[in-house]
Amino acid sequence: MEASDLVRYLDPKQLRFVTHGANLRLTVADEISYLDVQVIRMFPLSEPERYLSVRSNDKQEIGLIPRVADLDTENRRVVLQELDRRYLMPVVKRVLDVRERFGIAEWEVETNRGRRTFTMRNMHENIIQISPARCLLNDVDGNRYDVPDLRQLDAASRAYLWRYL
Amino acid sequence: MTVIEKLPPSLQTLIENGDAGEVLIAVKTDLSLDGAFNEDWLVITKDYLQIFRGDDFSSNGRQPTSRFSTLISQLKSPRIESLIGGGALLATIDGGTIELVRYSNSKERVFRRVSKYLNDVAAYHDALANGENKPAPVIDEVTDEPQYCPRCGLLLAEGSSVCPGCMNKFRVVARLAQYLKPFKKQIAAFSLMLLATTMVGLVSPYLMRPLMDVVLVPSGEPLPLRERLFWLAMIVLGMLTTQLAGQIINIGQGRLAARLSHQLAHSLRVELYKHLQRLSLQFFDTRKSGSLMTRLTQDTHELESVLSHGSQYFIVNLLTLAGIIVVLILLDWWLFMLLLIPIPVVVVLTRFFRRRMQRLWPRWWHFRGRMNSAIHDNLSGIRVVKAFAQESREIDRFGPLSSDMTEAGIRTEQMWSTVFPILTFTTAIGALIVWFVGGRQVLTGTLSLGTLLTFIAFLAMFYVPLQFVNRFSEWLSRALAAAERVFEILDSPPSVADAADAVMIPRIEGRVEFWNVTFGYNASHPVLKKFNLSVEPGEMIGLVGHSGAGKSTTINLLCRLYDVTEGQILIDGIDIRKIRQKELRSQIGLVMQDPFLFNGTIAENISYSKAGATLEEVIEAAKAANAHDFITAKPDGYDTVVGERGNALSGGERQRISVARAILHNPRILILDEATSAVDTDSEKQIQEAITRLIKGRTTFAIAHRLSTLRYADRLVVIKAGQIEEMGTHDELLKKKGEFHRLVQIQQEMSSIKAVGG
Repeated sequence: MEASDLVRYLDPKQLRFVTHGANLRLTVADEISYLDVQVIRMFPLSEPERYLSVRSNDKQEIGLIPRVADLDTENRRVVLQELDRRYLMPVVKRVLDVRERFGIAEWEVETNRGRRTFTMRNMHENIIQISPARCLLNDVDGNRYDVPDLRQLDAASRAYLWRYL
Repeated sequence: MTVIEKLPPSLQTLIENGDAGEVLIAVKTDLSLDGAFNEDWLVITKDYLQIFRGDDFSSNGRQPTSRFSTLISQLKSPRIESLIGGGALLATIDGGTIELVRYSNSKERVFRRVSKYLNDVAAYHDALANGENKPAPVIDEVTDEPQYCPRCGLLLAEGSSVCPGCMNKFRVVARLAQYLKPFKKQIAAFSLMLLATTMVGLVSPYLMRPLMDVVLVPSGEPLPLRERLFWLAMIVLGMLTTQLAGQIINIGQGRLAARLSHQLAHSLRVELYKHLQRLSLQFFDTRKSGSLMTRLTQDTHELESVLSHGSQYFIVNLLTLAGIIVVLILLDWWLFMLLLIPIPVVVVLTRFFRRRMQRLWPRWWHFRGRMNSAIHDNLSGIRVVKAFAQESREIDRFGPLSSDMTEAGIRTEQMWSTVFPILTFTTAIGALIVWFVGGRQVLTGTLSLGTLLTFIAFLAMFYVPLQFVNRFSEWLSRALAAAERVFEILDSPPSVADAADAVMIPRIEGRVEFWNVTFGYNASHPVLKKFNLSVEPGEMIGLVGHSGAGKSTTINLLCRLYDVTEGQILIDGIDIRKIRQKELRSQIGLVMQDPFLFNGTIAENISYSKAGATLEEVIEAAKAANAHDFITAKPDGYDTVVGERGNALSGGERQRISVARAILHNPRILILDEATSAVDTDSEKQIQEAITRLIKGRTTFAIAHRLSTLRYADRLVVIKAGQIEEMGTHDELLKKKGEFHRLVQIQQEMSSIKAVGG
C-alpha cells in the first residue's frame, strides 16, 4: 500500500492561511476554503516545525504540511503565530532561583515569554530528561517548561538543574 | 482560587468610580494575548465585561487602561478553547469570533468557571428575550483547588491544611519519633545500657593518671617497689573489669538494638503496605511500580537503620561527649580551651559539606529507583523484547541508566571520602596543640605526665564522638529524605474516600442509573459527557463503541475506582458515593480480559473473592465455570500452583478460573470486560456457556469487542465520544442501520479480510 493513499500531503504553494479574529482560515488551491482550522504539531517536542496536521473545526484532517519552511513568508508567519498561540511551552533561558522546602520547590525562571515563578512537587518525577541535554520541567498546575539544551545555560542555572538530573 | 481576586488599588478605584456596578468576577490571567507572561484582568459586573491591561499597574503607577469592554448581553457563545499548556476564552461578538483572554494551565480551572458562568448568563438573556422566566445565574462554589499556605505560600499536600513550614520545623523528626512510641520499654532499657556504656568508657582512661603518677613515673617521693607492683596489678585489674563490664553491656545493647530496629522496620513497612492497598487507582496511575517498590523496601530500611543505629550512636556519643567535656575541664581547663580552637573550622566545614551531601544522596537514590524501574519493566516485558529481537537495544538503554547511577554513586562516595580526612586533619590539629602546650608544662613541672597522658587519652575520645555527632547530621539528612518519601505515600489520601454518612446495603437489587455523568481522568478532557443510562435489576447491557469512546470508563465509575466529576451514579436509587465502598465492591463482580491471578493454588485463586469458602463451594463454582474438568486433569488438581500472574495456565484456563471466582463471589452486579476476547474458539464456547450461567439474575454490563457475543444482551448501548449514540436490542439496532450497524459491518469486513488472509 502506498503511503500517499492514506496520508494527504498538502502542497505548500497552494495554501493560503489568514487570521480572522480568533479563527484561522485556510484556502487550498483557491478552491476550497475552511473558516476555522487548527494546525497541530505531530512531533511537538522533536520536530516542532515539521509535520503539521491541519484540521477543520470538526477535527477532520485536511492534510499534512511536511515543513513549515516550505511555506512562503506570509503564510509561514501566520502558521508560526498560530503554533505559538496553541503551544505554550516556555523555553527556559535562565534559572534565577530554586527554593526548596519540604519537598516542594519554588522556581523562578527567565523564559522566552518573560519571567515566571512556578511550584513543583516530587522534583525527580517532574523534571524529565528526554535526552542527555534536554529536559522538561512540569509544575503542579500541569504547565511545562522546556530546557532545550542544558549546555547552553549559564553555570548557575545548570547547577540548579543538576541537583535533580 | 476565588472568582473575585484582590484587585490592584488603582483598578479598584477605577471600577468603583465607573458606572459598571458591583464586581461579580475579577480574575487575572497569567498571559497576555501575545503569549507573554503578563497579568490581564477580566472584570465582570452585572452588565459589563471589561479587560484591563496588566502591565499598566504592575509597578510603574500608570493608570489602568481597558483594552476591551462590552455589554455582556452582546457576548454570544462564550467558550473555552483548549490549547496545549493553556487555553483561551473565546466569544462571538457581532458575528466574529474573538479571543478575550489567554491563560496557562494554572488558570484553567478558574476560567472554566468563568466560561460556564458567561454561558449561563447568555442562556439567561436568551430566555428573557423569549419572555421565559429563568433564575439569574450564580457562580459555582468550588473547593477542590490546590491550597497554598496563607502565611508562607507553600503548596500544601492535597486535602491538608497543615503547612509543614509554618507548623513545626521539626515535624519530620517529631513524626519519626511517633514510630518509636510502641517501643517505649525497650527504648528505656536501651537508654540505660547506653548510659552504662558511656560511664564505663570514661572510667578506663581515668585510671591512666594514677598509673603514671603513682606507679610508673612517680613525680614526688616514690612508693616502695612492692607497693608500686601491687598498685600496678590493682589498676590493670580495674582496667580489665571495666573492659569486661563494658563489653558485656555492649552485647546486651547490640542484641536489643537488632530487635528494636527490625521490629521498627517491620511496623513501618506494614503501615506503608496497608496504606498502599487503600490508595486510589489515580495514585498508581501516576507512579511507576518500581519506584514504589523502592520506597517500600529500601526507604523503610534506610529509615530503620537511621532510627535505630543512628540514634543509638548519636545518644552514646552525645553522652560520651558531655562526660568527656566535664572530665577534661576538671583535669585542666586551660588545655581544654586550647582544644576548642579548631572547632569553628570544623563546624563551618561540616555545614558546607552537609549541604552538598544533602543533594547528593537523594540524587543517588533517584537514579537507583529509576534503574530499578527499568529492570522491572524489562523483566515483565521480556517476551516483547525477545519477540521483536530488541535485546541489544534494551542493553543499550540500560547502560546509561546504570552509568548515571554509577556516576551519582561515585560523586557521593568520593565527596564523602574527601570530607572525612579533611575533618580528621582539622581535629588532629587540636591534639597537636595540646601535645605542644601540655608538653611544655610537663617539662617546666607545672603539669604531671599522668595528667597530660590522661588528657590525651580523653582527647582521642573527644573527637570521635564529635565526628559522630557531625556524621549524625548526614544520617539525619538521609533519614529525612527517606522519611519524606515514605510520608509522601502515607500522606496521599485515598481520593475515593467513604462519605461520613455512607450507608450499608446488605443486598443490592441491581437497579443502576447514570444521571448526567461527566468524567475525565484529566479534568480538562472529559471522557464521559452528560451520560445518562438507566438499567433495570437483572438486565444485561452490552456496551459498544470504539476504543476510547468511554466503555471502560463507565465500568470504572460504576466500580467507583474513580469518582464522577459531575452528575451522579445511583444504585437502587442511592448515590454510590453514599454507599460503603466495601459493601459496594463486595457486590460487584468483575471478569476481565486478562484476569489477574495471584501466585497461589487454583483453589486459592477461586476462593479469593470469598474468604473461608468451603472446598465444596470452590468445586461447585469451578464446575459452573466449566473449569472443573481441566483442573482435575492437572497432576496437582486444585492444588496446582498457577505461577506468577497465572502464567502456568493458558488464557482460556485463566479466564474460566476468573469466572469461577465471580460465581463464588455471587455478585449482584456483574461486569464482563472483554471476557471472551483472549481465548480460542473452543474455550470461548465453554466460557460463553459458563458466563450464561453466571449472568442469570444479575444486572450485567458487558463490554465485548466481538459484537456477535453481545447478541443475548437485553439492550445494547452504543457509546460515541462519551455519550450514548443509540440504544436497543441487537436486532433493533441492526434494523435501524445506525452506528451499531456500521460497526457490525466494519467487523464483518475485518473478519472476511482475516478469512482471506488465513
